[in-house]
Amino acid sequence: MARAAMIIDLNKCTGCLACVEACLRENVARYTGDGRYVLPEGNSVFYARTKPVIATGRNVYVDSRMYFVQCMHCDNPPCALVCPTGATYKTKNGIVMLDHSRCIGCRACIIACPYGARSLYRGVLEGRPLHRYALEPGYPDKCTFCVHRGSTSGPAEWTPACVEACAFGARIFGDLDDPSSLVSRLVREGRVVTLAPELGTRPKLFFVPPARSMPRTRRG
Amino acid sequence: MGVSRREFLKMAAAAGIAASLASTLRPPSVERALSVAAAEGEEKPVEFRVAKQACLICGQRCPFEIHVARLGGAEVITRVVPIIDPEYPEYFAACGRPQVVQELRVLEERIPGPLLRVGRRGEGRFKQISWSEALDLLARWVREYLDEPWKIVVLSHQGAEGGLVRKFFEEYIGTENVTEHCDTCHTGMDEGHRFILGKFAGPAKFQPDYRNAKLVVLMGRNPVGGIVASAWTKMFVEGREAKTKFIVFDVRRSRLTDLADEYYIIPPGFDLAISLAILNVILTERLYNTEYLVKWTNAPMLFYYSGDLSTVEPVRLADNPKMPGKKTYLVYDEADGRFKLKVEARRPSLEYTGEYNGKPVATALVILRDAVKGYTPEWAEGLQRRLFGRVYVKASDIRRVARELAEAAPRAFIDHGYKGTRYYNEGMLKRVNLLINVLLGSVGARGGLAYAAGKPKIPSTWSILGFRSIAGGKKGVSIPEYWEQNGVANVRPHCWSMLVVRTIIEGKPYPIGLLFIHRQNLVSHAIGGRRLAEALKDENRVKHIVVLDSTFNETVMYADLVLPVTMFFEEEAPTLQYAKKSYVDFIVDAQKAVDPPSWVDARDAWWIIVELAKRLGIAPSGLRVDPVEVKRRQAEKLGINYEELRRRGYVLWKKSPKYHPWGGKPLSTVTGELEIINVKLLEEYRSYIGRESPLNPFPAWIPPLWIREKCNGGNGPCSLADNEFVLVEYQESVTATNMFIRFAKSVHDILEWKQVYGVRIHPERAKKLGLKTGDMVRLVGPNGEIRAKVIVTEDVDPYVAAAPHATAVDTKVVPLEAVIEGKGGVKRVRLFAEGGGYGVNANMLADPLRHVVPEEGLRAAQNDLIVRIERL
Repeated sequence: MARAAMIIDLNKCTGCLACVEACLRENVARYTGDGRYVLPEGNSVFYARTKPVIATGRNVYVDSRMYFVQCMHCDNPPCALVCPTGATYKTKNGIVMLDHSRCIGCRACIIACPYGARSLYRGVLEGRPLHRYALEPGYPDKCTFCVHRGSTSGPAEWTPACVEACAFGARIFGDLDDPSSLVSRLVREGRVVTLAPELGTRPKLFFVPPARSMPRTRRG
Repeated sequence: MGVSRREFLKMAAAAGIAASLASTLRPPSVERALSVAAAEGEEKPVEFRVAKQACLICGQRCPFEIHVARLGGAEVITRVVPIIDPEYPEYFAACGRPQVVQELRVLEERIPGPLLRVGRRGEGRFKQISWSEALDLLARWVREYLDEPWKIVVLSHQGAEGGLVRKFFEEYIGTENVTEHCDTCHTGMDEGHRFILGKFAGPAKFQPDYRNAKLVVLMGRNPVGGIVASAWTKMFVEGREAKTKFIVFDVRRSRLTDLADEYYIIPPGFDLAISLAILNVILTERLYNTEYLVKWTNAPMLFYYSGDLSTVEPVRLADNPKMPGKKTYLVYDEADGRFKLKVEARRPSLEYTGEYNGKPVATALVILRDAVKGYTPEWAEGLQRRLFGRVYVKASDIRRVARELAEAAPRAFIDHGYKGTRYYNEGMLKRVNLLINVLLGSVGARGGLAYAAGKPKIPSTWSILGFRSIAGGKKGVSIPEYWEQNGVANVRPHCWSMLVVRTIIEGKPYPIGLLFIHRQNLVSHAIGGRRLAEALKDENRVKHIVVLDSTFNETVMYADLVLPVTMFFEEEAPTLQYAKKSYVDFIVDAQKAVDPPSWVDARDAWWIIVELAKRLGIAPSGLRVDPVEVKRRQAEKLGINYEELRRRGYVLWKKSPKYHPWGGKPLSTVTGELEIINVKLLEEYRSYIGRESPLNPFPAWIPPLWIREKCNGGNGPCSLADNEFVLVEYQESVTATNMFIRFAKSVHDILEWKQVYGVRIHPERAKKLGLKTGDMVRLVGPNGEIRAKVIVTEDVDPYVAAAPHATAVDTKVVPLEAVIEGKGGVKRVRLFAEGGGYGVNANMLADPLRHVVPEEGLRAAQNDLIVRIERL
């Protein structure tokens, strides 16, 4: 069995947000017949499926001011638990998906997600999306690990757009159940953390917290 | 299921409430069905082209791929993928900037076609004309000055053909007045390095070997978010993985300080004091690399020295038989206690003091130690107390950092940085930092400051095309020559855009006939503000202004003739290029990915030059150019397999930086060595000894202009009024010198998301002014005003108002809207159409006659000014 997972190495993340730009292009933007590129009204970063968080203080879980919030593709996804129609579900390879045809727009999933990973665009988007799982106005949108590049049942062998765009190797995608995969190895070696593990959601988005050569200090 | 009962109840309740609202919230299913059908059906994007490109947004030319597909009848960019060599991945990277190309292509601000000014200059009113009309007019204006070609002044920088444009006007038209904008970028560094290397040397000279280092100190450089950074960023990331320790001194917190092991927030322009104190510790505690200094530097060189620095002079220089054209010098040989030329000595003494011919002598190292003996860490701490009334960096910390550097040397260094035109004292800062690296033995060392691998000599496109010069050989006084005769010293060749500004303002040495600006945005990029704007409006100072650019911007508004050029990914580059800021240099073949959108009639800049050349008789009238064929011939001459280059988009030119203290050959100094006291410049600038000047041959504290102005001439205490700030601009991870990127919606959104779009001030200062985040203010500088949004944050030093570069304009200088008359009626194009325009631009607030450094070629000191913040 495959279990798709992602690791964000915060040592290698320079905050360039190539991942966000790539996600917008792949999953959020629309394309018109005259070649225009249409992003949601308001701040489009809010609708990116990977959202940078730049906190005033340090996040206690990842020991960093900057990290990302996106669908954690939990093994125990609370959003799927509360979905009254089963529109939110888990695929065979562990990706939490939304079946738009079954979604009644109740937004329970948005409320249930302890990570604030889902967003909903209320406006109109002119033009065509790049694929069938792209953002749909009016629906609670979420990361799909760019499953349209791969499959919902096979091994996690494709490359999500955010991973492809990161030239610094900060994002790693792979199969947790494949002992030879890098994600599996890093998790096995205990080099990663998750957000709010005490909730028991068992997220499959992991972070490598910043390594310090000495206790980090702000002076002056 | 590990969700707690409480959590479960919370979620279940929420779900129940939400479900009850479902019928009113349900999205329109018909729309959904239609758009899914569009995505799934025949109009699913079909990829048909993958173009290899070299990103020119910040000019570094990082290789990447653009994937193009057809969707709904349009060509769309669907993927942007950094190219990474599987064998040498550590040298390859591309940051987030090229991820924006699909937006750049369709920016609202794009220039729709060739334009002729119809309103007053600077008013932004144009009419659209045909390409043949535009090119004929351009040719006519060039012809007007063929007898006085020096009256054609050319600024060109960005674009694959930036160098070709400059070469065309220099070699084929005959004007010497051709420049770039480095004097608003790194010239301070170039000047500072000259004192040690013997000639101007900019950021591309060295490569910081982060990944092999043990300790790196960063001052005034952000390899994580700055420009021309990707290759350095990659190495930075590699360095972090290898547990390199990073210590950062900066005026603001950023992702870099987040990633640093240790950081210090300091007032602007104060890093020089920290560096001088580090230098002092290294010299007084004898933490230097003795063997390295003896072998590779002039540290053992004997000078006559009686304790008075102003009378220092070399004891004896002689031709060096081992290095033709270079001098050797007298040293004291510890092996036998005799004075000898260095080439003959077995153990030249580093610390000798004594007498020679009855006169006191000392080595360069001893004299250098004397020169900085006053700059102790305690001096630096005391200076902070005196100026700022508090201590930012304790003496004990400075001492510790110096000792850590020495302990980790030669795998330790102070990063040489990139930009060097922020403060008046930046040339000295870069010089002192390089001096520290020399003393540590880290210049040219693995894990130190390696030398760049070297660049290929790519044959010129123009010579391949058989261009014939029409330069008549007539020489006038060039702009740099004139100003060097009138109070400006050390103009770096091709780096004097601030001299162009001064020439325009003062009308000297002559009015400019034709100002040809190719992708340079002079009005925004150089310090100019209202003084420059007023002068540009005067046709008696500049008769014709021609601007080649892709989008409207500050400078386009002042053009008489606007020639829209394609974005870099819309053209087949007419030349091979090299990614010069990487460790290894790779040659890139930038290939056309897409056409401009249908409503943009832009042409490649090289095509415009070729058409001009045909009209002037420089090129045969029937010449047809195939850029791919040109590149093939260039590749042949370089011995490169072009088919492979075309397929991969790059070839590695070198595979390692140069690990050698001199970069592999004697330096340009008199001795050919790294000179810790520059023999030639000591004599040339003797009169500056003891002065707070960048030309002082010895390291010295030089207060930045704002400290001179606001801190009792530099003696303290500093007394800024409650509403006065030092204005610091910087490049964010998504802004760049090629400023069209700032108009992209996603760039605006990212800057807003990061809470940096606006002017960032410290809460202490905001409180005094009663300002909160989101308030709009007026920034008033000596030479202009700008509206900005306030962001209150503890991330900046209290003295500072900080903002990303060029995120606003002075509306008295630049209209926010261009009006174009065309066949279809009047079209209006607004700058910052997708939002923004409420940040800053220091160049529009600073004074081009004050915030410059005449000793360093009149290079800019763009952040060395005080602005007032007034609530709107």
